[in-house]
Amino acid sequence: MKKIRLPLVALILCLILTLCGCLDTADINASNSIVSYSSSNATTDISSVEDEKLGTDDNLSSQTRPSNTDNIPAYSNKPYVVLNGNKPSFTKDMLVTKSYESYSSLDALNRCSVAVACIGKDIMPTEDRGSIGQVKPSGWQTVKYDIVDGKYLYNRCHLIGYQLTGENANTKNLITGTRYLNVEGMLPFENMVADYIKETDNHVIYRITPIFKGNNLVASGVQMEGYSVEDNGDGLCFNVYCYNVQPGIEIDYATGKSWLKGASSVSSGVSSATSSATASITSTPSSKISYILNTSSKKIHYPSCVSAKKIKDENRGEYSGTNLKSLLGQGYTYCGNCFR
Amino acid sequence: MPMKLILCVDEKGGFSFFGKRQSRDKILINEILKETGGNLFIDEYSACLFSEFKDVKIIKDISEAALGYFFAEGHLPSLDLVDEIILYCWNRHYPADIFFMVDESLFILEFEQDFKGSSHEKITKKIYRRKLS
Repeated sequence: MKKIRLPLVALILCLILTLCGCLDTADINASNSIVSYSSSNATTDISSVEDEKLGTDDNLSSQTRPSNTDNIPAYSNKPYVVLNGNKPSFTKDMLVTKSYESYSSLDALNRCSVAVACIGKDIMPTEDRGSIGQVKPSGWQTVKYDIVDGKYLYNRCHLIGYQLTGENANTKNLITGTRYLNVEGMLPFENMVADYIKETDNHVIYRITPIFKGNNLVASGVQMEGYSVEDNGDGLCFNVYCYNVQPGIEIDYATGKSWLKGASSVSSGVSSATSSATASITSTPSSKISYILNTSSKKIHYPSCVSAKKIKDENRGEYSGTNLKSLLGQGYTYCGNCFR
Repeated sequence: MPMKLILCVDEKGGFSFFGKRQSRDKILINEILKETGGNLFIDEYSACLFSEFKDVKIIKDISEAALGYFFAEGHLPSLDLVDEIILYCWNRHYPADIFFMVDESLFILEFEQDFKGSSHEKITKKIYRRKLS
């Protein structure tokens, strides 16, 4: 596996090509125009002092910053939403065809920031992924819920997925993300990028930006941008925001603590990146929670659910406890409204 | 309605995202060429997948594909003209904003087989035929 972390050569080459006007012939067509690009800016940016820092671990230049994410709509049952008409905000000088990857340093709260790469086949992994369990990203909690696929609420989410650049336990590339963010939000885009590169041998400019509100330790979500270089975005072009949520579970993003939707107490998982090094404690929410059962339709409801209030007395049951697995084993399923 | 429609979907029935294909596979392209026997129609968007094959016809209107096979990507055509659907399932999960599910009240599954692609561990081929009314 060949990796080039400092794309200085690519940038110098890009600068030469730009000054020679060669990049103009590879301009992005109108239908795929990249929002923040302008020819003069590209030339200015690439010769700026800031750009000399591009690709170092400690400083990602201003040109690698993503577009504004202030107006992201609230989560509404879909794992991702399109931003800016699905157009990424890469500047033209970022559209290189030499592979590299670059990660931001952790901030004072141990939080990750933007990761950017030009992904080609030459930096894709050739081996299976190793263990990453030793990494405790900011806000990390080890906590399990029966309603989560695989039980664990949080995954160590790679910003740039392992299948793309082979980064394993890089602390600058791992955030605390829900199972839902990992599998339903980010993975589909990673799969799409990986397939495209494998099938075409082309390069994809790829930028992942975790979005933290204030001093929260857990990201609210992740912005994902991708653009296929050699075919000017015909193959791949996207700009989306993936929500770091888990249906049926509430999260305190300041700390990473969590609880079942409708319940009052929080999880007691205590293994976090900001605490001193202690053994991970796996816990399930300890309080007993009451649920309403429809013994006819075999649905599990929260007491506050509108549907629960309409259940006929002869079909109404109650369950108090945390072992919903036993109910699932009896053929019950979760109400689609209260467990979204 | 003699047209045969060829589509690819992911494991959740996703067909395309923002007008673009979800995935591609070189072996699948060869499989489609073999299946269609030189009677394949595509639109301009799919041309990049078949640039090495001169027999494939690029059309602007799906009606031009009557009596042949039409490989649809990006946008779903109407099924009114279709009497057979050849569905290739990626068995992976991709972004999608357009989904395709076969209406089994109208079409019946007649054939199903898995094969290995060039970048996909498993692709499932399914052939549905329109039920006789």
